[in-house]
Amino acid sequence: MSATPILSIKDIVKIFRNGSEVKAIDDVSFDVNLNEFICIIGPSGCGKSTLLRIIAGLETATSGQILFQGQPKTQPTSKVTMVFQTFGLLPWKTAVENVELPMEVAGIEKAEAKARADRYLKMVGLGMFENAYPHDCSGGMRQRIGVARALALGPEVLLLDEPFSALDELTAKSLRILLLQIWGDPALPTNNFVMVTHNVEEAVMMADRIIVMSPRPGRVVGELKVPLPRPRFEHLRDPLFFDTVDKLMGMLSSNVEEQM
Amino acid sequence: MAAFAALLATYLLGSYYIGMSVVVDVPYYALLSLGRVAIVYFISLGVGLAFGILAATNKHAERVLVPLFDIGQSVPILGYFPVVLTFLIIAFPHGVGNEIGADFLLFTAMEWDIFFGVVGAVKNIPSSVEEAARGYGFTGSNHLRYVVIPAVLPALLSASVLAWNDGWTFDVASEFVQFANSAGKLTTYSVTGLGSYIQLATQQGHIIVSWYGVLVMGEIIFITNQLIWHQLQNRVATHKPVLATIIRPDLQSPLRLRRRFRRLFGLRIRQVAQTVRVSEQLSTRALAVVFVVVLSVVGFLVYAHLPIRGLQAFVSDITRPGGQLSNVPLYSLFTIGRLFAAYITCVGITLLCAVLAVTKKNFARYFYPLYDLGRSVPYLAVFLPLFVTLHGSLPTGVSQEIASFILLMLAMVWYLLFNVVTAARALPTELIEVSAVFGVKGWKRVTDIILPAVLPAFITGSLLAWGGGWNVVIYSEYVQLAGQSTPYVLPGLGYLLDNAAYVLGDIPLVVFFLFIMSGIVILLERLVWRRLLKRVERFGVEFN
Ligand SMILES: Nc1ncnc2c1ncn2[C@@H]1O[C@H](COP(=O)(O)OP(=O)(O)O)[C@@H](O)[C@H]1O
Ligand SMILES: [Mg+2]
Repeated sequence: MSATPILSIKDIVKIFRNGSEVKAIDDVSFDVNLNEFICIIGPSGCGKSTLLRIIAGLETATSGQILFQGQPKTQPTSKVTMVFQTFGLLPWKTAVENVELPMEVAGIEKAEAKARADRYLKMVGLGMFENAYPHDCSGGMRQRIGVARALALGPEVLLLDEPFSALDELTAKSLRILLLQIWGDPALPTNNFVMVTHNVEEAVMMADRIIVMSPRPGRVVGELKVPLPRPRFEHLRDPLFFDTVDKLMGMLSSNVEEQM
Repeated sequence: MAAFAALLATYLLGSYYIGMSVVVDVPYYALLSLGRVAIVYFISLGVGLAFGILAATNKHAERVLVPLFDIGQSVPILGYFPVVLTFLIIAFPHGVGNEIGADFLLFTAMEWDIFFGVVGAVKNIPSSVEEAARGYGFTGSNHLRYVVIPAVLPALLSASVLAWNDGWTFDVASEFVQFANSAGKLTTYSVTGLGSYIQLATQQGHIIVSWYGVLVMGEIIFITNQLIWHQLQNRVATHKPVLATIIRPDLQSPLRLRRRFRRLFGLRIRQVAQTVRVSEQLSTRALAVVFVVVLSVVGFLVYAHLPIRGLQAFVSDITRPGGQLSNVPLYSLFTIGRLFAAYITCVGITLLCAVLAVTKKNFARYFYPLYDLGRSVPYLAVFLPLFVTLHGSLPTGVSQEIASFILLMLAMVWYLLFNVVTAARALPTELIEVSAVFGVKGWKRVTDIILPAVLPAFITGSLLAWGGGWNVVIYSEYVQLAGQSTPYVLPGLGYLLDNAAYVLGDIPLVVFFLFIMSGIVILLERLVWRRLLKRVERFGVEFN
């Protein structure tokens, strides 16, 4: 474990007040260590997306704070970017224009932005589709564009909110492999992933450590270090994989029953 | 309660400041107009529902009805109103023709929105819902009651709000019409109501009284909107913004109709044997028969009832140098320019509101009440008193241009505003979050996120706005006041048409100008708006 975590989530509470009060998150704390792949798992509506959006700076916490490299963070920065559940692509821009936009905004020179966009689109396997519009792309291709866009700025942390839940299983599988490659590639600056999911196998397959949340109001009810060696694809038939899945299942469901 | 208090207060203040004798009958007139608008609304509703459901569920009916209604909505209603009214007055003397004429104008002001709203909504029923309904054995009236009507209701309500407001706006035009004879003597055809009350007051120079009438009419529109339509809309859960795309879907263009005619007349007959083609040909034939019948009836009436000059004289008159025809190109440009100036101003206002709708959280709190208020202004009724008021201190041409500009803006802006603001507010939150995460701010956010996102709604709004504009520009380019030997006019296509209708009484000439005007309307719609819409539609955001 390295000394300072890249990201610290400290005592985050979120209460939505519009008319009635909804307590979405109740005192959540955990660290993301350097080069770690974290999954946050929990039942639907437990505040996973809200937590991720607070980390991204899209939502302000009612109390608590986010420390990024030891400094409090409340605003979006190009050091922490996000991949969206339904891709969040601009339908009126081509693949390459979608990837370029954040760089343009960040003041990166046009030629440099174009070159980088090309490189990242190639990396996600869309070298041939630079000028395609999102509506001409399949769901899998769209999410690849989303990933290229998020990485092109060279962020330190990549946040992913159920990035595969709008995709079919086969497409999801190939994208999981792609993401793990990117995460493990030391040549790329982005090596800290925080991914929200509600898919148990997916979490076990991808994460170093899994944060388990309770139904609303979301609290951290457990943490699981995944003991499987990498690359994980060679171990998907291991008893250890199934044991870990079972254990995580247990942590999730004991909590649900407790609520009922 | 507050509504009635407001009406009572208006009444009392009116009787105090203007005089009891002048306003004493206003409630009676208002009730007459309310009754007229309401009855015609229900007729339009019945016709729209019946034909709309028929057209949406029956292929053959669709082939006949949709093009007919499409042509109907492309012809500016104030353009053919004098023609129809002339027939009706001859056919039904003793004031009955006037009343039918007024009702007819109101009907045409309301019907198209309702019909296309119904057709669009029925066609938009998801096929999974239809399949489920079929699977559970819903047929006939059950299908209608549990699937079609609930599916149509939101669009029907949106269309009804438009229709109701349009009906009131055209009330003033429908209740009071003046024809001049060759000697310049005016004949007035009017039916009793709030609209003719306003007109008469303006004609007689009681400008305060006419403003008072406008105020009462605005209050009625506002109150009925709040009490009836808002309540109904709150009750019918709408999950999506009902954009005007649903009100005026692109179903079938007259251009395709033309192609079908060509095929009918032998230019394109290649396929005869195939049963599908045969049935298509049959319905085309039916359509052709309907057309021929309508045309010959109209033609017969024209020649039987109207003392018109011969066809030859007509042709030579419009083609001779300095005749009516030579004015057409330039005057068309004037009218288009007038519409364009108002349109550009509306665009500016709309874009500002779109940006505010996305960036300011409580924008909707202020926007919708203001929208409701503004939408209640019966702009056609405003025009004449406005012109006369301005005329007091400004030169004639200037005051008429200004009044016309304001009238056109009021006719155009609401379509744009409503569509664009609704679309801006329905912008998926994910897109807004994308711009926040990647730091897209300021002007860049306007040009790269907000504008492209509202573009389809913007174009639909523009299409509707221009349609509305053409309808009222006819009204503003020609003003005839009592005691004035010549009318006040602005050079334009609307003036040419009005002159032909109200001064020359030349029906073929009116029809001729109507063709030109409808041609411009259809060309603009097909070549500009529909084409743009097609191009941007695939870039539209998905509303969920
Ligand atoms: N803007 C909001 N206003 C009010 N309540 C919200 C808002 N966003 C989320 N919530 C509520 O907070 C809870 C957590 O939502 P979310 O974070 O989306 O859950 P998850 O992603 O785990 O499914 C839900 O009950 C949701 O209804
Ligand atoms: Mg979520």
